[in-house]
Order: sequence, then structure tokens, then C-alpha cells
Amino acid sequence: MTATETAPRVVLLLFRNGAVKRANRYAAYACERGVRVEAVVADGQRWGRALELHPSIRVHSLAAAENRMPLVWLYETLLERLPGGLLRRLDGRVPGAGAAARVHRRGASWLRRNLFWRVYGPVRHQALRRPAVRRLGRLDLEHADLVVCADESTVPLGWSIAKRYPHLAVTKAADPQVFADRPVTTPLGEWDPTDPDRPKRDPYLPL
Amino acid sequence: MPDRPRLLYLAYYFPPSRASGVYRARATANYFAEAGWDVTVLRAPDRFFTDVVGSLDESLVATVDPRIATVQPHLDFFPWEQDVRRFGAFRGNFPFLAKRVHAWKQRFKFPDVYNSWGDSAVEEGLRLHRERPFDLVLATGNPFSAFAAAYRLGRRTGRPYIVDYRDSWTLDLFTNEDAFPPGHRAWRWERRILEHAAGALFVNEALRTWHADRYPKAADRMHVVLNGWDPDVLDSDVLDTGGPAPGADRPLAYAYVGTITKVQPVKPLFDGFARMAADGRRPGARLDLYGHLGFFAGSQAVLRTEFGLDDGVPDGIAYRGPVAKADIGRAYAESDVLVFLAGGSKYVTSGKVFEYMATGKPIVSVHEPGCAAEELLAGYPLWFAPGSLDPVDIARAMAEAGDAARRADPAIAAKAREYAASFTRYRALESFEARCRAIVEGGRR
Repeated sequence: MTATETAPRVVLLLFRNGAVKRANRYAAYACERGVRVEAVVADGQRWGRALELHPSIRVHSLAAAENRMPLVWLYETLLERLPGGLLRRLDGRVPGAGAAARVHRRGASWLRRNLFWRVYGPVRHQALRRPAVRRLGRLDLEHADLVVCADESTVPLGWSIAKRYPHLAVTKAADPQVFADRPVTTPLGEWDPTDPDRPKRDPYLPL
Repeated sequence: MPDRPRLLYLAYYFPPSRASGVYRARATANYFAEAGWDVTVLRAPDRFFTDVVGSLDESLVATVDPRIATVQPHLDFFPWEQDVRRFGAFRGNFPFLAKRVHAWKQRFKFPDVYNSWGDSAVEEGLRLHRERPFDLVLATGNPFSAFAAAYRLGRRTGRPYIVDYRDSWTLDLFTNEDAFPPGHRAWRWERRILEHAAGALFVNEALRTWHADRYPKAADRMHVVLNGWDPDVLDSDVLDTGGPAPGADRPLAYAYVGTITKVQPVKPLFDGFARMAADGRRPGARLDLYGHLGFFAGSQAVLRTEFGLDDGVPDGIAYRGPVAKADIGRAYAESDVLVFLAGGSKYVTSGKVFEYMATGKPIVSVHEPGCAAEELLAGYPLWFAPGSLDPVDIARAMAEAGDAARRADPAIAAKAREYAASFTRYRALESFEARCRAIVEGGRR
């Protein structure tokens, strides 16, 4: 059975949390019309304040893969986790350890902004491409119909996908109107990602 | 020198485009062809209409005079390209760098996203000119890259050029303020283009005056060529098929026909209509909105939500969607009162007003007072102006227009149509074509 004989399957690529709202709007519109929407998200770094993705989206997370990358892992281990953990353990046992832990937290936060992101930010989309490409097999893209690069930083991954899967349409246009002629088969109720009482969604699956 | 003067017409939006400015360009090209000119049109590539704008009207192509040659100069799709496969290896692998390189290159070009088309139009124009020389170059904007291309063609070939401000460039029509900050390159370009042009056309006197004040050296070559209505679009036979006038037994049908955008006062219209309907004296009255939502396919969902067209509109209001050119007369015929909904103020005429007047039906204005269209509507006997955008005033004007439609005085309707008959596009173009002929003949002597 080919992909076109079943419901269309769309894979959204998101490396930045700014695209989450757009992805949610897209998914809400498409899923109501019987489209299966999946997303690959790089939620390992700078994702803390991101909104949750719509429950109708099956989400594949690159968090573990990103956090295991040598640069990221070394930085976090040497400058954040090891000293932070050590100072926490010493707090209450050694005089001044609590104050040192607070200084470390502030220093680590400053370094993250001014060192880590200055170096890692500009190359993050390239760094993420390699682990994502290695895991493409798990996405079963042979049976997908469309890949949407929901933010500019996913374009290199989209480009690699386009080269590997000649049948796939890969686009930057997150326009759900392409499904406008499909009837609404499963109406979705209102869903507000900021509502604390919203229904729980399935956890993101590690890619 | 050939007997038939040759016109090179730079009209980016030309059939099959369905953009609102297409009708002026189409009428201009057709009129010149019928007047004996050998017309060549340089227009946007088809792919722009299919992939970027997302809509076109193939039926319009058949309405272009077959003697007109059309050429599609190349356009760099970088700003609009969405298909990752078409990006090429550099942009596909380094999207941010590619964008920066593109932005850097733009610093040296004409300040308009369509400048690559303008460059290609110059190349194409020069190639065609070498084969058989043109006598006159005419450019219509937007996009204003067409003006820059006309200027460069004029300089390179020594032929006169005329620019047609179908739209405003450096004046923001909706805020009545400068569209660019002081010192922006657009100002230098506009000065250069206007001061060397053999003429500049504007759609109303307010726009002409604004430009004449800015560029006094070119003021004596600035003229007004009004928009107009197209008799082939608005068939009077179809207009008469609307059935009898709405008596007390038939509900009134109000209609807006045209593109709906967010600069139009849609909310005051809805509120005004709801208020009028609520008084109960016109039971069953409805307001139909015909036309595209926005100029680009992608804007549809945004505008539907913004105006609450799916579920949030008052009772009696319905969005009927776009109307094909062949059916536009029927949309008018099925309406009793037309709502002239326009954004902006004293510089906005809107081409739609001419079509509205041609129907001979009552027209209710819903726009800021002082709109340029008021000058035209003032002579129309079935015009109802609320005087403000207050829903109370709009409701009153709509009610009065509805009552006028019910009275259906044939003498007034005939007078209204007679007034509108003087505003066809061809009428508007007559003196302009004669002026072009004089410029060309003056150049030949």
C-alpha cells in the first residue's frame, strides 16, 4: 500500500520553539481533515519555555541526541553539572558552599548566554542535522507525503531529506490550506497549550 | 521608422494574473493595440501567479487583443521560494548565509523585491529594441521595478518613457504618510525617474497634486488618467436579469463585490449592517461578500479568522467567495444595494467604484470621509454616504439605500447609468493615447 492510498502523512521539522504555535495551528487544521501529522523537534536546548505541541501530533524528540553531542555534553558536564552537583552536595556541610553554589548558578547562566550560545547557536542547525539524518530510518519517510520545514534552521535537514527521498515534497510553507478540500472527519475541540488543566498529551518519543 | 508606433509596456501584473490592477493594464494594452500601436507587454512569469500569488484567471487571457505580444522576463524567486528541493546546494545547506548574501546584494539594487524582474525586463527590452526599435516605453507600478526598468530603457535607447502610478509608491495611501524614511533610496529613484520621464500618470487629482508638490520640475508632465469600468466584464444584459425590484415581500440584498483586505473597515460595516437589520423594518435583509480574501492565497485563513467569517459574523452576513469574471454581472444583478467598502482616505479612488456606478444601483459608502472616490460618487444620483464610520451612521445610510432600492425609480436608475457611462476605461484612455502619439511624433520630427 502506498502512502497516497492512506491518509496523507506530514512530518513537521522544528528546531526552534518559535515555530510551535504555527505547527499547532497547522496540525489542528490538518488533523481535523484526517491528515496524520508528526513532528521532529530539537527540544534538548532552549526549549524550556516552549509551548506544548498539539496532542494530535506524534512528536519525535531529538533532545537526547542533541544533549549527547560532544560539545554540548562536555560543556554541560564540565561547567554546569559537575560543579553544580558538587556544590549542592557540600551545601550545609562546608561553610560558604551555599553561597558558592549561588555564584556558580549565576556564573553558569551568564556563560550559557554569552559563551555557549554565541558559539553553539550559529552552528546548532548544522550540528543537529547529522544526528537527525542518522535517525531518519525511524521516521519511515518512505510512507510520508510531505515534509514541512517549520523554521529556517531546519532547512539543512530538509535539504538532506529531499536528497534521500526523491518522492517526498519538502517545503518551507506551513500552509494547512493545502488540505482545504478534504472534509472535516474528526472535529477537534478547543485546545489551549497555556491552560494548566488541558488534557495530557502522549510524551514525546525519542528519535 | 515603421508606420505603426511601437509601444513597450512594462506591466508586471497582466493576464492571467487576477490582481486588481490587471484591468487597467489590460485596457491600456488593448486600447493602444486597437488605436494602431504595435504593443509588446513584459509581464511577470506564470510561475509567480501559480506558485507565489496562488491564483490566476486564465479566462482573462482570451480578453487580451491577439495582436499584443507578451514576454515573461526572468524573475529570481529567492524571496518567495518555498520548495526546498529548488533551493540549490548553497541555500539548502547554508540557509542563513544564503539569506545574508542575498540581502547584501540587494543593497546595490533597486529597492524593491521584484528588482530581478526589472533587470531582466531591461535586457529583454533592449534585445527587442535591437530587433525592431520601440517608439515609447510605458511602465505601470506596482511593482516599481517596472519604473526603474523604464528609466533605464529610456536612458539606453534614447526613447521617451511614461510611468503610470496605478498605485502609490512613496506615499502610504492608508496612513497618508511617507512610505519610506528620509534618505531612503526610493526617494532618489523616484526623483530620477520622474524628472526624466516624458509623463507620469495618476489615478486621481489628489495623488497628482501630492507628487507635483514633491517633484515640481516634473509637475507639468503629470496627468490624471482615471480608472474606469470594463464593459466586457459588466454585461448590461446580465445586469437586467436580477428580477423585479425588492418589494415588501422580498428581502433586500446588500452586496460587496471585490477583494477583501484588512485595510478595509469590515468591522464597522458588519456592525452597521447588524444595527440596521436589528430595527426589524427590513426583515430578512442580507449582506453578501463576493471576492477573494486578500491578494495572496496564504492570507485567506488569516482574514477569515480576523473577520470571524466562519462563525462570528452577525446574522444575515455571508461570505460567498470569489466570483469568476464571467459571473460578476450575475453577482451584481442579484444585489439590490452595493456597499462601497474602501480602505484609506483622500488618495484612494478604487477601481471598483466605477463598476458599482455602472450597475445603476444604490451605493452605500463605507470608508473614511474624504476618500477620493467621493468626488466621483458626488455626481451619482443613488449614492448614500454615512459621513463617518460610526455603525449608527452606516446603518442609517444602508437603510436609506435599501429604501431607494425598493422604490426602484427607473428614471433615477437610467440617470445613474448614464452618468456611469462616461467612466469606461477606454474613455479614460482616449486623451492619454493622443498625448502618447504626440510625444512619439514629436520625437520622430
